[in-house]
Amino acid sequence: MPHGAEIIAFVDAALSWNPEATAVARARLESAIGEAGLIDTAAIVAMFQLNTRAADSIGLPVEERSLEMRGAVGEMLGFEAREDGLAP
Amino acid sequence: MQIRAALLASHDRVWRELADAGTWLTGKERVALAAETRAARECAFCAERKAALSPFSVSGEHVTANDALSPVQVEAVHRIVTDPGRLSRSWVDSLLEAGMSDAEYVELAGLVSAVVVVDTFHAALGLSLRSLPAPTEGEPTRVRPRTAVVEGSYVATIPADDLEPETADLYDTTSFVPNVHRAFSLVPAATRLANDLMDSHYFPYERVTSYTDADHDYAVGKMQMELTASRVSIHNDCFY
Repeated sequence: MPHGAEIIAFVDAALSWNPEATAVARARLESAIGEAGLIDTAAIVAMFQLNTRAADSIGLPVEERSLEMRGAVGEMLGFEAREDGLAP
Repeated sequence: MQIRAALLASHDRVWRELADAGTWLTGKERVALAAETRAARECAFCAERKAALSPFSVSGEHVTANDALSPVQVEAVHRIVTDPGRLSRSWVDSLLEAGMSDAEYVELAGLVSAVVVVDTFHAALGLSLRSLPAPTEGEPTRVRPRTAVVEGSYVATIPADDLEPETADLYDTTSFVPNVHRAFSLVPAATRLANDLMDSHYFPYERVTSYTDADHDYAVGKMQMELTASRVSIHNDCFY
């Protein structure tokens, strides 16, 4: 995953609402992927603040189609073969 | 910082609609909800509940931003902002039993979530938060979609195959309509606002499962976008 560590650090810092930590993570991510990439990442962080709340405040059931897709990914990664479905 | 015009326009729309009367709430109530959304992040009671094994094991009072909201509205805002992953059917039922209507709850949840989008974007980029708008006069429309039914969620939603002419624009029924797209459909205006945010920040709901890197000109790739989304979901302990 290109710059995955910087992305994760940025999300973690942004959702901590700590301005100092966010500034550090933001600078590292911008250095890695540029200003446009930073803005696009911030937009997705912001959007999923809504999507997660939409799902959990309304108590949405997960669609059968989504369960099948996720199950297929889990099987591909070998989660189904491990005790408690733990990741390798 | 060169922020895409579509992002700015969608934030402008949230702020414009925030100030106006909605479907069930007045402009004054809606702006008060936005102020409460911000206050919740500083609420010591919420922080204590968030840290507890069960949010119901802690008693106390919320630190509120104003007295324009009822206690049940304050409770709803604070929990949706600070502990969304542990919202439950019994908790939503308790709000309804305390006098909040199901549609008012949906409007509140949709509005709070939209304000969180705008605030999160600004804070993440180190920008000052937008000043809250002054509420406008006007009465809520109080129109409930006739085809909304309870389908397993805590409140009613409009099924993908039961849109009426006045709600025909809500979903793209030529594709798979995910449940998350239908979440706020008891208040169609809330769904339209979420649609606008999705279109400008990410992808239309019906394209989420099928888009590829050939379909966009974002400066990050699909894997990076999905990593970002997944990390937010983990933070918010999102079951869905």
